[in-house]
Amino acid sequence: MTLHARQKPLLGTFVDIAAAGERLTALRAIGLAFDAIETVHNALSFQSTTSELTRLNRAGGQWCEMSAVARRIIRLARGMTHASGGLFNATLGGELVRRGLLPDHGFGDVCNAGAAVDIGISGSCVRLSPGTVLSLDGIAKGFAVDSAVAALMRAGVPAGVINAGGDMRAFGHVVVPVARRELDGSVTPLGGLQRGALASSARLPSPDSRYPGHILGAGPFASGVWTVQAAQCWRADALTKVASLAPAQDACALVEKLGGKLVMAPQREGEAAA
Amino acid sequence: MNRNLGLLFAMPLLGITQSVYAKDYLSVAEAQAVLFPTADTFLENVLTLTKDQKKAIKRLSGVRQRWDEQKVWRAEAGGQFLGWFMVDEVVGKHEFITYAAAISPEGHVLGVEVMSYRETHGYQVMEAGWRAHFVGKGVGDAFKLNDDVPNISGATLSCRNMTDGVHRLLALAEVMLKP
Repeated sequence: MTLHARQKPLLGTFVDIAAAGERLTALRAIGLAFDAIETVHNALSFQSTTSELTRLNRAGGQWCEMSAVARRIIRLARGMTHASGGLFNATLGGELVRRGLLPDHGFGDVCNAGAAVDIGISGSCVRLSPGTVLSLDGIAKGFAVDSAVAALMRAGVPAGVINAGGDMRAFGHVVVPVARRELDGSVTPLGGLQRGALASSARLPSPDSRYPGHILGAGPFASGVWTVQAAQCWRADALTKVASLAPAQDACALVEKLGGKLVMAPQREGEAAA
Repeated sequence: MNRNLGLLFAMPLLGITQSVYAKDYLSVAEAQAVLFPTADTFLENVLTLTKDQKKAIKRLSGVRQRWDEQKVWRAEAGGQFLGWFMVDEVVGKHEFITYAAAISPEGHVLGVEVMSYRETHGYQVMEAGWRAHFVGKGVGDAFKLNDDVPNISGATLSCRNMTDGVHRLLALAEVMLKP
C-alpha cells in the first residue's frame, strides 16, 4: 500500500507524517495527526511565552492547574528522571537559560538542575520546587510523535510513519528505511524500522545554528550521535540522553533496563564498524 | 528467506557515493486544498516587485527578498475572500525546500506546508554486517538501498530558514497586498 506524506515546520524542526490508504483520506488523517502535534507543542513549548510549561516555570513554586496532556508528559519525564538516576533530567531548564540556549521568561532566581523530587503532581495540578525550571524539549517531541500516531490510528489509518526531526515511529505493516545523519553531514543507512520508535541525539563539537539540540551533563564527553530504539518515541528520545551520558561500557545495559535498545553509539577512533 | 538475508549481509557494500535526499509531498493544487479546504476558487496573479518594495520587505522581516517576482493566489469561497496562497523556496547551504503558505486577509499565517524537500550530502553506504545488527533487533528486513527515500534520524535539524522565509512572505503581503 502506498504511503502519502505531508511535511510541516513544527516543534522547531521539520515534521514528516506519512499514512497508508487512499490519498485524500490519508492526507486528511495526517491533518488530524498534525493537530495532535500542535496540541503538544502549544502546551509544552519552552520558547513560547504562553505555553502551559512557561506558566508552570514562572509559578514560583505554586501549584498550577495543567491539561491532561501536559500532566501525562510531566509524569513520564519525572519517572524517567528518577529511573535513570538523573542521566535523563527534565529539570535542566535553569542551566539552559543561564547558557543562553533557552529564553528567560522572567523566571527569577533559578537553579541549574533539579531532580525528580522537585516535580510534584497532585490531581490536575503540578508544582515545581522554587528555582526549578522544567525543559521537556526532546521528550516532548517524542511524545508529540506518539500522540500523532494515536491520532492516525483513531482515524483508521492502517499503517504509517512519523518523523519529527529525527524522532520517528512506524506502525502497521510498513517497514521504513531509516538512515542517520552523522555530525559531518554524511548519511548512514541504519536498516528498516517496523512497529517501533527510534530517536537520535547529538553532542556537537561546537555550536551550530543548523542543529539547535544540546546535551548537558557533568564531565568531559566525546561528541557524537546516539540512536535508541523503543516501543514509544518519548522513551527512545529520553534514552538517547541516558546513552550519551552513561559510561560507554554501561550504556547498552542501562538503556535496555529502561526499556530501549541502543542501536548505535558513536564510533570511537580505531574501533571497527562491528 | 534466511539464506537471502545471509547473502545480503555477507555482501561487501558499495563505498561512498554522493546522493540527494529528495522527497515530494504535495502538488500546488493539493497544497491549496490542504491550506484552504473550503475554497472553490484560486485566482492566480504575479506580483512584480520594485527595488523599494524589496527594501521594505527586508526592513520589515529582516530577510532579503531575492526574487523580483512572486506568484500569489487569491483564495475565495462563494466570492468571499479567504486569504492568500503563496509558493516560495528556501535555499540553504544543504537544503532546497519548496513550500506553500496561507496568509489571512489580515496578514496572519493560517498554515504552512512543505511541497518538496531536497538535501544534498555525502551518502555513506556502510558495511552490511553492521546493518544486520539493527535489523536483527526486531525490525524488518525489507530495506533495499536506493529503493526508498530513508527517514533520517540524527541531530535535530532546525527549521529556522523556513521560519525566516515565512516572515518574509508576511512582509511581502504587508507591502504588496494590503488594500
